[in-house]
Amino acid sequence: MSPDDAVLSFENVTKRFGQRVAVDAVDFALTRGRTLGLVGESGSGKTTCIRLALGLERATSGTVFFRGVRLGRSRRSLRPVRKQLGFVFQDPYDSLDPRMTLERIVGEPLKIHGVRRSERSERVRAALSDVGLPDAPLDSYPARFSGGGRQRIAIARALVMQPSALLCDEPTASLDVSVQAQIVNLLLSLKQARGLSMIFVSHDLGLVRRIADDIVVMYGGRVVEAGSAAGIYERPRHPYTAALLAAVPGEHPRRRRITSARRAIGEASGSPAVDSEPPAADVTGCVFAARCPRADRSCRTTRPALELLPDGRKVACFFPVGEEGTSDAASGPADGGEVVPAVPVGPLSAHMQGAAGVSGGAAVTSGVDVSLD
Amino acid sequence: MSKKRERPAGRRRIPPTLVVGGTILVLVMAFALAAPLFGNPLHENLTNGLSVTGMPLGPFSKGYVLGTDTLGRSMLSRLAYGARTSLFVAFVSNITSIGVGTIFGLVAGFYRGFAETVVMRFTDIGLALPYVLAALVLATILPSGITRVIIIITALFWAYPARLVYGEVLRLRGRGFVEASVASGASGRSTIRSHLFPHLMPMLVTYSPLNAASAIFFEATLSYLGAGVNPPTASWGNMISDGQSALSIAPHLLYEPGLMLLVTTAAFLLVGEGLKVLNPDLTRLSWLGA
Repeated sequence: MSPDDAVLSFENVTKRFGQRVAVDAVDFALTRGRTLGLVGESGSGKTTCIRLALGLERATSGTVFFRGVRLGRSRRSLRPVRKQLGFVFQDPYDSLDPRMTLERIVGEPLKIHGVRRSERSERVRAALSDVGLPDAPLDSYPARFSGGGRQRIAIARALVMQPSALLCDEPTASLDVSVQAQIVNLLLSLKQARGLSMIFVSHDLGLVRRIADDIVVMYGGRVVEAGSAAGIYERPRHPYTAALLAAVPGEHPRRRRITSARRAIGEASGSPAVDSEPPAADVTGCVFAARCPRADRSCRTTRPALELLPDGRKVACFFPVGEEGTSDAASGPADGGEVVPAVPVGPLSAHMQGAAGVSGGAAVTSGVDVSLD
Repeated sequence: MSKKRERPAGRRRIPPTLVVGGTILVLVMAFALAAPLFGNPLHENLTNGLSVTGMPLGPFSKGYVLGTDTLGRSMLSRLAYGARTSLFVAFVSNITSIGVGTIFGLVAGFYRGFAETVVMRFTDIGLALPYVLAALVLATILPSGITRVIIIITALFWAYPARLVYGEVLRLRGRGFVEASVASGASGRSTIRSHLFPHLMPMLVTYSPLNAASAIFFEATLSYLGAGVNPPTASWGNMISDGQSALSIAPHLLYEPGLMLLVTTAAFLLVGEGLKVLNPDLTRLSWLGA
């Protein structure tokens, strides 16, 4: 991607909180008109990236650029950028002031950026209809709305300034599953209608798959893999990405077999169990080494750089998945079929004991014990 | 107002403490407002205001329902003007001390950094001061009068609300709607005005009667010690002080202003308790800090 295509780019951005590194020398860019899925488990630094872009945190080092302009530190210099950056936070019960009416909530950015009062109600009304709340009374309070309704209000607030980019920080994570789809569909249609560039932070890979064009996978504050969404879903190269994808439940019965196979391998290759504390600043080597089955001594001493592979993928790994020349069924571009094993088993063998506790047809636990030879 | 419409009907009952305390306060205020009706508090009626032996008249004497003091002045009138003093001090020092505390708490909690360190260390010092001693020291360097009382009370009473506001602001600034306002480009002032202040109001309103009770009590203490309102201006505190010397011959000089002080302070506390019932998350507020 050429740099002038970048709406928002992170260049070597590091954010430390005391001894902990939340974001560690991160490099990625949001391309105009595209949606970037920022994925990773809790504590991987996804949200911190969004907060850095919004100026809610200041980078310890490195720079965030918005359309080629360096994000300054002062509020005055951030103002024009903030006008162009809409945002949606995770929890709509927290992000809307319970003591404000809809008109004041959605109209707040307008007020901040000096839009005349007479014009405001009209634009608030328009923004609310855009998010599917055309009849919401402007003098009502957020308490009247459900989670989905509140998130729509938050999206209306994000869009009322007609921004060029939208940053969504897990906008569906605190919503009911049935409502999640509505919100994602709303974001998709808004994006198409307005040509918005969007960063969509999520740990839900199923959702990201629906909405993202590009994917950036973060682990322990670092970008471990980046590339097109289609490519990454079909053929993850970083062991962590592979493990993460393997943990996604199947979406379709026909895929279930493949997914469970993936899961077995995924569990073996470093379970994405939550380890929410960011790693200490003095970790040398690969941040994923401790949980990675492919790691050898070099992974623990030297940090792999994010390198561009021939297929356009960027991976920070010395031993990317699918490069040993073993049973590499998935090598080459995905040939149309959904059912392609994404991760070659390689020389691993997994013994599973006491797999999957299933009750009443619903998979409650998958207490899989795995041992490696 | 539309705000009221949103509230589920009948969820909040007015607590009896609020009714009782409020009623007493209204009566005390009416008493203070009606003060001119009860005569001149400074008139020393040495002929009819004292007994033949020169003693103060007791309660229910002819012309003096609550008796007279050692100088033959009407106790009823002095108590009414004393109520004016007390309520005036309570009202003004409440605004100044809570106002100063709120500003400091907001600045420290919202802007953090250096301001936070400085302000909160001063707050610690303010909370650690021995009140009476500090007040007496201040009294020696300030010109006397009711302004002095208000300055002293403000100087000693701002720290507790500052601490309360600071804690609340720290909690609020992590809330999504505050961050959303900042991320939209709002100035600190506008975020404070539109998001923080409205959320601080219930706490401040609940705290203010407690603060007023302390202020009235403290004004009386200062006047009693001679560091407050100057005689001959009536204050319950200096009336108690006067009454002390005549305790054996005219106990009403002590218990009348004492009772007024007690009842008024209690009424403020009852109102404060009542407001706490309306805001259950504020039960941590307590009278006299601590």
